[in-house]
Amino acid sequence: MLDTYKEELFKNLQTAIELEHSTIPPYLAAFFTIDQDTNPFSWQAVRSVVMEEMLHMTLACNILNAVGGKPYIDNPKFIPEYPAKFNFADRKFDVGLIKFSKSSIETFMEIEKPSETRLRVKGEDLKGLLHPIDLDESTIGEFYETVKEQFTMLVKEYGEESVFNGDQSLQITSKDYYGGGGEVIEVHNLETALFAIDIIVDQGEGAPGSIYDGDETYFGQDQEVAHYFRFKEIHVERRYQEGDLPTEEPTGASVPVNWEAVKDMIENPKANHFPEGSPARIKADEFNQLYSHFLRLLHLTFNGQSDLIVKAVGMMYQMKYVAAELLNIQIPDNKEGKVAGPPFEYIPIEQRKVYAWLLPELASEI
Amino acid sequence: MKITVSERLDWFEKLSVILTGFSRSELLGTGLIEIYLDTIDQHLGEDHVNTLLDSFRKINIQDEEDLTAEESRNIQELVESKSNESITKLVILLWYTGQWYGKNSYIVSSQSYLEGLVWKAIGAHPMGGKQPGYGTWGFPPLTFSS
Repeated sequence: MLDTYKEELFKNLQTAIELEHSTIPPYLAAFFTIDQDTNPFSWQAVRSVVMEEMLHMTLACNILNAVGGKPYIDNPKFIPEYPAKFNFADRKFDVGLIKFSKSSIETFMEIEKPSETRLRVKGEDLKGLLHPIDLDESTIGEFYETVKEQFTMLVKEYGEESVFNGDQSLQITSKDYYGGGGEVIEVHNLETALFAIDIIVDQGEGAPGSIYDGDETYFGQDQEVAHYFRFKEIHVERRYQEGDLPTEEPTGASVPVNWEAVKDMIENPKANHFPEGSPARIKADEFNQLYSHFLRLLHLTFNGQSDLIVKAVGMMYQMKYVAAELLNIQIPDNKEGKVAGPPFEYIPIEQRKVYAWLLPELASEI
Repeated sequence: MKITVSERLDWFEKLSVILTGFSRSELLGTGLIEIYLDTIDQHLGEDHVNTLLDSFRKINIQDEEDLTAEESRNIQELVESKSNESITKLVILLWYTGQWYGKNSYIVSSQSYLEGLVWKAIGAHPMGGKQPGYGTWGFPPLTFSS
């Protein structure tokens, strides 16, 4: 019976990994269009959020591995097609790859919006509780709250050892993961699993009733407002300060945003929208190649080859530089003078080019 | 003759592809084409630059990324001619190093330092900028394997 329950839990944790990942391309696309020198505050704020999303995805993988599941990262369904529909019980909206603007920041606030009801967990016993959660029928907060409840009840029923029976060597540790937002938690029991979920939720929407994300308690960092509030600060061009409430507007220092000093990226760039052989197409294809290889490396990293994270990170930096090149390239015959941008599209394994430094990994897989 | 701004850019872009051996997508990706043309104009004068661009135009290259034997010969002649030799060398140096070489040599901008083609050519990265990720220096350069 435990195995059946666990299958349900695996599905939910895979959903968590995909949910956390799905925010990264939209945040990155907007981030790449910000001019660091003109808008240093926004640049830094969006960057810090996206790095914490990468941490969340890593944490979700650690949790899934801790209970003996297997993260699936390199497959076409893993990447949403942008604009993607984000449907939750309390709100439905589209999320696209859009340049930095008031409207894209509003969408980002929508993603990170604190739940009003954090504790509406459905089901009263294991049977009622353990089923794949339909995101359409819950909020993000409820989703994670339900997963926490599933863990607690499973451990109560079957004991910690049988629930957390995953291979401990699969955990990504702070030795492997550096420079991200916060710290990687190695998950090996109920306490660490619940802690990892709290970090995911609190960095996004704030500790309950607070604008702060809890990192000062969790990691001994400086006080930092949660993602929703960081986006809000950009949107209203004003910082929060000590004593501000989550339900009220920020009252801190003014941080003017220059909304014009932004690369005029076409919305939701797609490689095959650019003419074959054009510089925009060549670079968009190159970006997609890198992104798809990157997902493969992450997949292998989270499935036992944790030393590959070094190559995954190198690939990620390369994606950043190619994205910057795309944003310098005008789209042919575009009347508004829009520039290209990173498409974040999946390329099937058999259509991938082979990079010199990937050869050993590919050889072991194919 | 009168040359429009966009024609000048277009010819400079094509000439740069031939002089550097890098594709249009790589050169456009640097975001520096206009800045480099400005830099050259500033030091050598527009008229001088126009003479070079006009001689280049006359060769009538069909595909600058795939020259015919005849086009190659004509380009070689152009590059090695007395009047153009020094300017074409300066253009190559500018693209590869991001630096203007003259009486007072200088790096054109922080962007030009980062985007110097030399880094891509040798599969390395500009020190202090465009970090490649911890430990990646232990691997071969990130290029496609043929």
